Amino acid sequence: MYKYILIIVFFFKIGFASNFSLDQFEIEINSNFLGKEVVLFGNKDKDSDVIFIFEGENKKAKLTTKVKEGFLWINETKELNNQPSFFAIFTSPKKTLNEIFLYSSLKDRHSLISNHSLELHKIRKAMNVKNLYIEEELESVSGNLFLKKFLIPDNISPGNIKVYMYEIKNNEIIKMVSKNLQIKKGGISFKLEKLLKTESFIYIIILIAISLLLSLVTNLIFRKK
Amino acid sequence: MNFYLPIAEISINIYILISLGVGIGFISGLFGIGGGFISSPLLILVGIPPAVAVGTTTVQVFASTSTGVVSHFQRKNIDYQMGLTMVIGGLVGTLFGVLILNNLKNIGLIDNYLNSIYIILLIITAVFILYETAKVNILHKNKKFKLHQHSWIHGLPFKIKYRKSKLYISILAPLLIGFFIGVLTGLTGIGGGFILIPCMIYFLGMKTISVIGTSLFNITVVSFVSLFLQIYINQNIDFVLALGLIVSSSIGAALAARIVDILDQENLKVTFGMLLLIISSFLAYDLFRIPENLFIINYV
Repeated sequence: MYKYILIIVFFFKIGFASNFSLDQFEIEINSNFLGKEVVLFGNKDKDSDVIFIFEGENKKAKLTTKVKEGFLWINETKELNNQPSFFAIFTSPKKTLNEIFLYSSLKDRHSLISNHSLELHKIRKAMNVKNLYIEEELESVSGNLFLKKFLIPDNISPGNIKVYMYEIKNNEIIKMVSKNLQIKKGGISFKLEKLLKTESFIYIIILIAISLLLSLVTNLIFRKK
Repeated sequence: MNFYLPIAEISINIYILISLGVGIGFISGLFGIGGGFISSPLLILVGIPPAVAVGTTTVQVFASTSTGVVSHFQRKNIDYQMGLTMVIGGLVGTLFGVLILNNLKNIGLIDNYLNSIYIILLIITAVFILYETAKVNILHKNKKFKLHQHSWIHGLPFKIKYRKSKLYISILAPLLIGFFIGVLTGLTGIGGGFILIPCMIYFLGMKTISVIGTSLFNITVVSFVSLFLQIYINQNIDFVLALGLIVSSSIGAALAARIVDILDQENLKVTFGMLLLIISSFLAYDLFRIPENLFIINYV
């Protein structure tokens, strides 16, 4: 597997300046979906740094903060209108969020890392718990080639993940390349969800019929003689 | 081995689901209950979102009670007049319950409130079972006592005759009981048989022979309607999870039926009461302990 990847990367090295690719650009969520490992690979100019940002589609979300009241921990919930459903930052060499904040055009483009506010910190923390927020360093393979394996978690929402590569030289962004990683529901999962949302009545009738049938059959098979 | 639950949008280990279903079915079979009030909190404890746990439990309750109704229908053990009165209250109640659930989901307080309701229900039921067992075995071992005594319920207006149960009581009593159970069904997904049966015996004074069939009839109809309300209002029923639970819990119930006769019934009741206290203490611990994660994000 790696050989093929390196060959492809090598192709990039010869053919282009800094560039990248993914081992897949479409992920299907089906009944066997347990998350998917994605390989990001490419090459960069030896004098430049790269920052990759994977940003999922903006969705409505609710941020719950646990607050202690008396002896109990209760929820305080805030509605968020446009929150990326997935966010990952990969850098080479390693950069902290504070260092990334220095690039104003980058932070203006990505709302989740647009400032140091406590609220954004809470959102990043909450996403991180669900493996929906990643901050890691790219692995250097050899010379200017880099590689990063990471997991798209099983709780990912379907939609488009925009992948941005920022090339930085002398603390200036000199190039930006973007590609799309498509997450879509397929197979029975997709059909069931679609049925629930568009044909709720049929969904429930099928469910009732199958549950009655299963209940009767298992009762017949396992009942006491 | 994990598999993906399309509506809950998480993957679950198949062995956990099967063990959970068999365990719930086994407890249901052993103690003669529907199992909804155990399965909802247990599903939440293994990480299923509370709203999905509630909706999916309703399917399990409906499937398990509907087969029971058929056998009681054949044995003519159902008081339809009483059952329908409770169903009317139950339908209004379940609509309230589903709307409250929807509101709690929207304001993000669903787990706080559901946990608290389960804790209260489980503790009340456990104390009731343990008290009744103690009353029969220790306090009144050699005494005969009335199963049903007249209470304030019998003073309520709008009395009507329930011929099958040979009762002359206010229509408000079964309506209110049905409403209360309906709210619980809509809000928590449980069938409520463990509350309904004592209410029918102790408050309404029904005879034991028709109590089980009538309560099953009420639970089946109310949970059937609740399924539609949950789907249309909350869209929280996971097909795959529901079918997995139905099959595994039926196996558990069948296993229990094979050993229930050789077990001492009084010991069983005490074990059941203790089991409810253990589950409620786990839920209570969840409310009081420092949370693992102070911030949680859920996408709508």
